[in-house]
Amino acid sequence: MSDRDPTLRDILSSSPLESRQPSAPSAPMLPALVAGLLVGGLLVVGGYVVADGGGASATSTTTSAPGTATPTTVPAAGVAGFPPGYAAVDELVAIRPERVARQGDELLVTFTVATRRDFDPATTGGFQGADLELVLDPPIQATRLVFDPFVGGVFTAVFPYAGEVTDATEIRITARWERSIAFPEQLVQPASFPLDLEVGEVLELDEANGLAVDHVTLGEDGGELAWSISGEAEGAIVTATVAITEGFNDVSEIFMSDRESHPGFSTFIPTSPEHAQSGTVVLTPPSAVPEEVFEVFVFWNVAWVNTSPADATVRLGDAAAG
Amino acid sequence: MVWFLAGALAGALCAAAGVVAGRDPVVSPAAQPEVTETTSPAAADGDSAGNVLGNTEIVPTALTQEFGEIRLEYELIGLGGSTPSAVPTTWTMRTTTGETLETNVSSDESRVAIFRPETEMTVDDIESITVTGYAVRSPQHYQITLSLDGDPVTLVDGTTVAVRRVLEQRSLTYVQLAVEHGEEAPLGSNLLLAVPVLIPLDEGFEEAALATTAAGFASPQFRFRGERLPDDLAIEVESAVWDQGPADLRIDLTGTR
Repeated sequence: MSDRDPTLRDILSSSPLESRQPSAPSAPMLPALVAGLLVGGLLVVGGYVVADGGGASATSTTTSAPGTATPTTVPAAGVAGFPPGYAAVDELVAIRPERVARQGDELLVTFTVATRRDFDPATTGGFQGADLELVLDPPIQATRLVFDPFVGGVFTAVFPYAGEVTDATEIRITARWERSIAFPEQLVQPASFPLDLEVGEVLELDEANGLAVDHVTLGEDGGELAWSISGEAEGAIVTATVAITEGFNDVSEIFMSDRESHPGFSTFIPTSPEHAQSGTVVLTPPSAVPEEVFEVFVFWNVAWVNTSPADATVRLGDAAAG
Repeated sequence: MVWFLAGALAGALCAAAGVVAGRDPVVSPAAQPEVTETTSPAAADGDSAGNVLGNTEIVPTALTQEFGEIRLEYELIGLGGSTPSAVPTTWTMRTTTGETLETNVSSDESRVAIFRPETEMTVDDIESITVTGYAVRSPQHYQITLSLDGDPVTLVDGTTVAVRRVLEQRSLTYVQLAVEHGEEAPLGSNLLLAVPVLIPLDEGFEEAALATTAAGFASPQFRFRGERLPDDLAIEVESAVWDQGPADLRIDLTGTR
């Protein structure tokens, strides 16, 4: 066996989704067998020489527990404080690739997340995302991360399936994210319908960041809310809903919701267009045309990201084809 | 390729034998393999391999024999407080007489592995229990294109989806789908999104027009109220399937019997 790290091509070739034909001995068998004999022998001798001369420690080992005849192969311990195969994103959180699959022109790598036992979710955010890249020349960056809305401790990184992607053996963590979310409410004045208003109001998200509401238009055919991020955040995903109340004593509300508000559970990397410094929320038409407008409320949903540098590498060799 | 690998393996064995036979009998410490204890429980800070699959520690709580069955009960704990997102799926038990028994679990919520030996045995006859396969919950979110011609598209979990037929009514068009699950049935679960959900993206589809591919939903369909149905439908797929793969984890049974 070769002692090189398995590439994505090696891993994907075992995918049950790959159509495999039953093989039978054929004429090319003998040359391949002979070539294999030579290569295998050379690799073992080469590996022995390197290990003996360089003092490299094994990354995995085979051991037999007393009284058993069944060898068990386990990877050697990884980063201190975390189980084997995990790469630390920071002092408390580490990730490991578990499954690799191809879907169309995308490569999906599912990771599990482990935290140290002294991790306190009440005071720390845990794993909130990271910039990931396949270690190639040039590297290939992940286009988005997919989180599970019901189960923590797992996420999927999506890469473009193009170029030399299947030659990759490692993924590098180049930055870690700190995600935040806020739900500011805004009373738009003067209230009217239709409405075409330069607002210029900044809603506070936290001490360092704000959401500037630049322009609001509302009409029978829908509306638009133009926003931009002010502060240190590198990007945000913004959705909103507008509620219009009719008359002072009439509490009926006419909603206009974000046309693209289906949340899914993808989180785009901060530098992608979907995770932008500014944008426009496009609203659906109101449920009814208001006759007498009393108040116009905007309920914002803002998720923003700050990043900080990281440098860790995780091997793909422990992952299996999904 | 198979023959190449077989040759490589044979060549490696021959070469290794030659290397061992011809080398200096004194082995330097650096060349010795690092031995990792496979049966020790996970250390408090997770340094050891322990009974760990992915980010989940298997904690065996009882090994019993009842009505001819051997039952290994266990708990799953996410390391450091994270949610367990890996579950064991297939198990192998080896007896002191060399017999090997296999079993599997059908749900990610299962917390017991049940072996049914053909002959009478006790828990003292068990030499080892090993997890040979485990599943990871894999969140996925991607797009596919479904042709009205009925060309099938295979999803990541092996499920195949195709347009079965289009039913046009006065003010509404139904797009009915044909769904076939892969050879590997999904783990039973009461968690949402354990099977893919399909969401049409083209304008004209009803907002709530999403279709689950779950078994039991015989005829998933979309409702379309637009003017003209596109020939190719842009479909968003969301799922968090339990993706199965191999494992080789011998369970530390200390204190369970």
